[in-house]
Amino acid sequence: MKKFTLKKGAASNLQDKTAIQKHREWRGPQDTAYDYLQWCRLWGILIKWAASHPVQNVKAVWRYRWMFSYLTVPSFFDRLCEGQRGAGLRGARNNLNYLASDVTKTLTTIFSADMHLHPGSRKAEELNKKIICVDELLPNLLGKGFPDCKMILFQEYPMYLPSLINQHSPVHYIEQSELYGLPADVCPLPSFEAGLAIEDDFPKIGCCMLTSNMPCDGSIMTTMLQERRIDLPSQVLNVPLRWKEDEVQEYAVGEITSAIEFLEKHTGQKFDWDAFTKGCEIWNKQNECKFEKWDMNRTDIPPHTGSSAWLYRIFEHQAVAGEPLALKNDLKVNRILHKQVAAGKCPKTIRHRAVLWNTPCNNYANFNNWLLNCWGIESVCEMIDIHGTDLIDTSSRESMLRGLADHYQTSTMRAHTKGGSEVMLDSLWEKYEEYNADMIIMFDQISCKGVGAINGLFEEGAMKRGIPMVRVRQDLMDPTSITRREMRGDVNVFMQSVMNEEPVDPSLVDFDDDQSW
Amino acid sequence: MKDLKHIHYYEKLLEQTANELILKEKEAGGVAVGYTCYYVPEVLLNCGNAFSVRLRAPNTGSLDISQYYMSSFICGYTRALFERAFEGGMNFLDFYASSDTCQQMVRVVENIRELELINNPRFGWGIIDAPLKISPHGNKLYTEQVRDHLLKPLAENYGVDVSDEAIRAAVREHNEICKIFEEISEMRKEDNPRITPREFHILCLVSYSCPNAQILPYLRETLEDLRTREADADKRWRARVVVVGSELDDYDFDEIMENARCYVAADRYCFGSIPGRQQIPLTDDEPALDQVCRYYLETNQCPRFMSHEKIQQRRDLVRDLVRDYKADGIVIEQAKFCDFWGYERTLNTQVMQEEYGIPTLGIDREYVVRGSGQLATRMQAFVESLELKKIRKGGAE
Amino acid sequence: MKALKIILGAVTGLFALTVVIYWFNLDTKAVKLIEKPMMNHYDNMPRDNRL
Repeated sequence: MKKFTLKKGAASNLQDKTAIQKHREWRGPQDTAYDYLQWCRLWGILIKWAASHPVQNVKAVWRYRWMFSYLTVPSFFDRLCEGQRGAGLRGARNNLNYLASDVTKTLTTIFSADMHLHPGSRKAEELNKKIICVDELLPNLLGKGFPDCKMILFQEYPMYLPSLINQHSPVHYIEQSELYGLPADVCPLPSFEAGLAIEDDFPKIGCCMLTSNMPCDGSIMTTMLQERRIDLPSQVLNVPLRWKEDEVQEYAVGEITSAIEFLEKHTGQKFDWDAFTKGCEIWNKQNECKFEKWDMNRTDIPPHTGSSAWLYRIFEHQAVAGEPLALKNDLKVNRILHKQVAAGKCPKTIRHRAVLWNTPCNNYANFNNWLLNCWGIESVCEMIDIHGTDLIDTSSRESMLRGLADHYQTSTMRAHTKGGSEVMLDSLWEKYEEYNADMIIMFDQISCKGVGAINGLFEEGAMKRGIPMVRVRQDLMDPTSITRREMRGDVNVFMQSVMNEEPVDPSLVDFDDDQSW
Repeated sequence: MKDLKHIHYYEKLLEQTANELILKEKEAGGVAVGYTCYYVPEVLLNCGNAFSVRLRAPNTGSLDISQYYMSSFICGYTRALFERAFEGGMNFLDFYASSDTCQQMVRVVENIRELELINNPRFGWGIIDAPLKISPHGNKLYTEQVRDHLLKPLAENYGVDVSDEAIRAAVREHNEICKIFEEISEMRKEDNPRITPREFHILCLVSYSCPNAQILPYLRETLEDLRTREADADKRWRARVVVVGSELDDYDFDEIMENARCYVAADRYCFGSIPGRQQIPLTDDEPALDQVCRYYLETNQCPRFMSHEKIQQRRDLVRDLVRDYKADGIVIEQAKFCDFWGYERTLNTQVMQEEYGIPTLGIDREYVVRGSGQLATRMQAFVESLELKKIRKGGAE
Repeated sequence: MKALKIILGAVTGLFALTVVIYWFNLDTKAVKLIEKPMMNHYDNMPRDNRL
């Protein structure tokens, strides 16, 4: 490792090991004031949530280990906004605060119905009759057709979000899974879910559940383990893998129709096509907002990139597709972004335009911020951001079902990793050209068997095209396996040895944040 | 016991991916169709002049090339197949019938395709999607996928007869092989069985990896030999088990079991006889293709099937095998890095033990089992525990 | 008028407090302080652990 003369850089503001900021970031008077106001807004959301059901919420924090992670959300949002200025900061803060607002509302619903917190409560039982649980990687747009019910992504709140917020949150649960015999090589996502089931740390909610094979083999298997504790009437919604083929679409639609029948039976509600149509129309508009963002990112002054962008996309696609408030937020953010692009401003140092491919690392959610702040690498395009891009034809019920089937098949962690290896490979080279990129950052998620099995094809493809590509090893959400520091190390070695560059901020090249959330 | 007829010939055949019977059948105009998984209906790959070859990579040594292309956390079976293809050991293949039902296995054919590893101008491939629960629309999908991605290319590109009559003829031939196995399988229920686990596994493997037409005469003779074979007077088995699990094509596994004096009474693993070596019933009132596809879905024991009824079916089948084959316990084996069987093993080792009351051992193993001291030790310990249990039970009675 | 002064004083005080908390990251540091006792609590809770 080369040694650099350490000027006072961003890392000097971080506490050793915990990487807690000694003081919040100075972004210039205007941006700092804006950041402060958004921080106040966030705390307003959190206080409102806490005050709405104080006893219930304290009980929840006391009962569930994963709830502690939510107490660290302000710090998490700070990390996702590290180094951001102008429209990037504004877009990020608005998206994140909307996310906080929706998540707190859902947590209220969850805890109000949770029989662990309200054993024997008739009120909770009544609430549960209107709660439909779905596998968290199954987008809940279908729930728009049951407007009197709440469709909840079951593992999203105890598992997926905490894994992003606090890198240590999965560790205990993965240990439990492995204590019970689960091999250590399986992907941490299903392993974390299995650990939650083993510890009985899922909220006890819902009247029925839709499980699925999303996104992969590991998730199929963990479902069987989880169902033993969840103990709800359940049905599998099988999402086809060869989604590029027309031949599987009839089956895909058949599965959705069957799922609707199942939900009607267990909720006592009839599927509301008008409400569902409205939800699809709103989702289409949300998608159009996303297309605008991608258009702007193709310019020389990409305004909306980085961690909060892909995180928001995942959440929007999975949890708030068809939500009017989500659309309102999107329109507002797009106005902010357009303004900056129109003004020709770019308040950041960009040395490289990178395409980031494969699933990013949950236990280093703000990796994009580090890439930009340390090495000037701007994440102009991310694979995880590109899913569910087809608009739903709302002209008929059949076309909407077909659109929803497509929405599922091209969902988070599905759109590229399934459908054939050519989907993931060809799309990478296309995006590289489309976004005028000059390098690729390939996430090498070591326990992802589906993508790991074509590692060599990516290497050879990049070599053949003369594209600089750095492979960053990670283990999705297990920080004990590969640390953030090791991930940074992979990039550092590449940037120094292959690209022969010096960092934008030398203080960020190497620092200890093992105890950081 | 005296050596089983043709056993050494079978061992010789199993030393090569492209054995002499395959090459002989190809010379006679046969179309070699490789496959790896029960999701691909074996019997349909034997229509007309096509013949199925369930792919193995015997005598696998280092996996350096596959490690580069596929990473080291991929199951040994898929890496071994890839390595073998890279080395040129699969140039005999005319068609690779795969299924997108295991994300690791499907990548083998995708890597082969991208890297153009099969030096055969006729080489083609087909990949099917398959449901993971039984339903009418799922059966329809499966049948259409098999027809469109496997049978249609075989017919159009290789001139293979995939008509209803050809399918029925393939089923008849398949059933003849299965009948042999059903009879031999019954012998495993004997108190002092006249066939060893290793021998049975070898018979299974040759039936999967050699053309039916070529291997059938040999199997018939082996069966004749078995009918009159006498087991050794001294009963050497200390315990009987049902082995359940993932892909297992290394019969050294059975040697390890035999060295521990543990009899594999029934084999419920991929490349085993259950399922796979039971006769397929056909009626005349429905297209054979539909019946065959439905049969394969209903009898499929892959843990990928996630509906409640299939989960229950897998457990009940194992319970029934323990009963029917008079086993003392269950060994659930998992190929390292197999996601499906990693979870199934974890769960069912406990479920079968605690809910079904059957002593169960869960193990994981490499693709190549030979020389695994750890496996041998664990088997020894399990056999001893089964013996003790029998003694205690006998004492109590 | 007096009420207005009180309100203005309170708002100014709140503003100053929030600015101090914000700038010195006191909210994050406070949560960090309770992390260890909370983890101890979770580790020692009675659990019904099973497959």
